[in-house]
Amino acid sequence: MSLDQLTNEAPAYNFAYLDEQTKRMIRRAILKGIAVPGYQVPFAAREMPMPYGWGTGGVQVTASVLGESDILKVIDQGADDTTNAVSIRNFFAKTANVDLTTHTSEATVIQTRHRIPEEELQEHQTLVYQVPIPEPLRFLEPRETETRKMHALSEYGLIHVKLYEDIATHGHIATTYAYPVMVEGRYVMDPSPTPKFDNPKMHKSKALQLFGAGREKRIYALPPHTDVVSLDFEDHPFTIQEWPDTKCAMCGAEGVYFDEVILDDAGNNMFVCSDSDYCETRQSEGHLGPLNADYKERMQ
Amino acid sequence: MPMPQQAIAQGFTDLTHQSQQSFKAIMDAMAQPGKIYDAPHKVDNAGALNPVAAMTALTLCDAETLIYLDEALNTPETRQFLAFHTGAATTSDPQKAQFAFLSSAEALEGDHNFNMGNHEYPDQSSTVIIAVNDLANQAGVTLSGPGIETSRAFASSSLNQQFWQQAEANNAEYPLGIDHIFVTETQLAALPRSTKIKLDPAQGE
Repeated sequence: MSLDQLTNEAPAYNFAYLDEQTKRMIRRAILKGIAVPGYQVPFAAREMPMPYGWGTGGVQVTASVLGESDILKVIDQGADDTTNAVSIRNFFAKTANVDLTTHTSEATVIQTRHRIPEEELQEHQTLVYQVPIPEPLRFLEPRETETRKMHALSEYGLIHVKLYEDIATHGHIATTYAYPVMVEGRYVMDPSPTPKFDNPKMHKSKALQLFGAGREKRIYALPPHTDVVSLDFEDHPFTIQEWPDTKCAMCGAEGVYFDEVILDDAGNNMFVCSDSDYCETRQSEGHLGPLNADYKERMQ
Repeated sequence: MPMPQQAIAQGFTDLTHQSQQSFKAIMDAMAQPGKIYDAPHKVDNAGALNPVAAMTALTLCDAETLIYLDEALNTPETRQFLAFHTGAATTSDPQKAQFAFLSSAEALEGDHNFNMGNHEYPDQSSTVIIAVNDLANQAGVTLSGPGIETSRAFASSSLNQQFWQQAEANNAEYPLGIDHIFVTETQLAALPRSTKIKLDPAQGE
């Protein structure tokens, strides 16, 4: 090989970027996480060729489970076409050469930054979450030695106080994302900053769910069919966000998680599905919302 | 003069992809306790390890893990195979073992005091890989818990009443406990500490 070739060709990476020893270490942590659902397993997170906060934990987990025949989907707040999703998808296209998709039903591995697809996941699928702060007690107790002890003793009074203070201040539980859940009646877990709208989808999901926090060096997991219960009080039961009388402006969907889009300086707005694949699939099936370009044509 | 050594058997021929496929099977087995998976790779002539136990060792063990071998498996050939392919050292102290390979479930019965982890770090426990003759989803014990929708029937002729009582006691210590991987010559299934076990009335008294 000439010097010219050597300097011009893209460097060859190991499959899915990580070296085999690193993958084995992460794989061992994943197995422990699956055996103790909701418990945060420490692991020796590597530096990745992207900054912390851009999904280094999720990327390392995905790299360790991904195989040649997998079909990968990456979403950022439900969308396949935003920066984080596109760059991570390109990363695996380059380093693992796997097939990519935006369709939820086609994917075998889905990496997500904070949303669960609207379409129900199936048993052959794995959902990988990017997690910034895996410790649900961290903002209540900064010391790792103490939070570790609290998990060991299943001592979660503090987090109930936090939810109670919400009620005392706002009249209702005002936590809307990273809403703490109890896993199998044993560990309180941070579901990652996914909107609480998605919490019920974690409960007894058919898919395996893996959580990776790169900067904080923790991996945790929910096997399929695991009990995941959002914390609440008898007189203030857990509820999810609702948008009464709202339809997606593009596909007309109701009862999904919406993004609000401001349309002009007068403050006019529209709501669209946060899940871009769900929305596009509905549109291709002929469901149209009032602001869809084809809608007026249809009405005529 | 040192004894002439036998050539060490071949490990994975394609380390990256065979490791991934093997891990995928082990991960799915751990995530769906009692469900039986065909091993994607069988590694023959790995000392006294059966081909699927050897696959598991190549997939999960390396220089960072200590391996315990029971008496029947603790042969020079097994140790050479593991040392050459994984770089893992063996230990005679079950407490120190991240992975323990056992030739039969009976090896669990002795004084093997495997590491159950501790309440602050339940992940620092031993994973025990047990060779069995057969695996079946038929009347034996009934498993339930994380990874199982309602319940799953599970049986192996190699796992007796005593084993299941131990496994029940192991589950009672949750979140502490050891995780089991059962391996036949061609298949595997897992029993993590989180799985609840009901001994069927036919077996119990």
